[in-house]
Amino acid sequence: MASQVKVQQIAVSDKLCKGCYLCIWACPWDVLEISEERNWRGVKKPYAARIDQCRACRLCEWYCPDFALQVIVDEKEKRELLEVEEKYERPWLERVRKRDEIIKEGVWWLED
Amino acid sequence: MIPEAEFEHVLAKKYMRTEIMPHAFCPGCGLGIIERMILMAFEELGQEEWDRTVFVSGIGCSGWTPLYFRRDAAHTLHGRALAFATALKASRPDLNVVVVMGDGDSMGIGGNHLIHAARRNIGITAIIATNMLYSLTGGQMSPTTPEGARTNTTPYGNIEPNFDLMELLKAAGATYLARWTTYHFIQAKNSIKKAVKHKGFAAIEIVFQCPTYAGRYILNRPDPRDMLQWFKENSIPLGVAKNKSPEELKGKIIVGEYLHRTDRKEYTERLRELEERAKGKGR
Repeated sequence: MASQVKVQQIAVSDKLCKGCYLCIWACPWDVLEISEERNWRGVKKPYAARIDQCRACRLCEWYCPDFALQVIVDEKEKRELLEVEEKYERPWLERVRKRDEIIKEGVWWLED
Repeated sequence: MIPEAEFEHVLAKKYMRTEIMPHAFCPGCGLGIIERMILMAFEELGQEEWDRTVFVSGIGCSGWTPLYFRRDAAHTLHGRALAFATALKASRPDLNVVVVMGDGDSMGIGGNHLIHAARRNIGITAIIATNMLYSLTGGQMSPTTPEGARTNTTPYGNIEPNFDLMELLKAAGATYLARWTTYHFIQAKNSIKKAVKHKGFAAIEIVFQCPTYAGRYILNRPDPRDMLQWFKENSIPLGVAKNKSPEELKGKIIVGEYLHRTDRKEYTERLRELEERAKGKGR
């Protein structure tokens, strides 16, 4: 889990998404939402409604059975912390930052 | 920004035949998650391991899974995937043989091959995808259907008790055993990684969601999200389950790494030894 990683885009494929919405179930930060319109395959795709809350934990990506979703991280910029995070999650973020540095060297989903 | 029309996932681009995607599976089927577990395990193991891996699969929904990989795969007879894999491993011991089977494929029609592969302790990685019924043919009862469950062929409830695969294979002599659900993503991926490197018969049972049949008939949860929530609430780790009574564990999935032993010799090693002994005697 990355603390201050800025997410550029959550790409959802038109061709592959079947609309099971496991990504929405998996997201702990309530980022994704079902879109109103149907695409050319007749699927109401999920889209990133509140992308500023996304912390790039990639649970949505892992639980997607159809390889239709990908979290694309902006590597240059850092995300601005939300007000709630500043207030309550500061110590936690400091702890997580150390882990981020370890993760950066290996494969991005490798733990410890 | 990536345009969403011609979007391809990083893993899919590297390892999968994207030209035949989307999958043939139903929306929300857990087999896609099992595919991702396998691919992520091999991403961490490295290209070298991937290059000498062969997939074997049987018949059933689970038989589709290796066909989407850009890797050699054998789609074999119903229940005989392990027989084919045994021949492959015996002739080429340097290959990683990964067998993806369903519960009907491995325990129903191919139960004989399963226990004898475990008895020989041949170095095959068997990934057994369990969805608690035969889903390809329309939801018939299978050896893993829980007692009392209603399916297409048991409309008044199933009167047979189900298999406990882990105990069966432990008795048969397998050397690596683990059971996870699709909810336990990281754990299952790590188990696959361990099993591929393990010398000897390794079996990983992954309980996955089949919203179309298991969800509708057995659990009364036709939504894949509800099924994953059910897995989350009804799976108990092995260490916690030790202290509980059998009444409390009824209807629960006990997950964890059951067995990891290194004291038994692998079958292909015995075969090579025999070969050398026979050669020496002949001359």
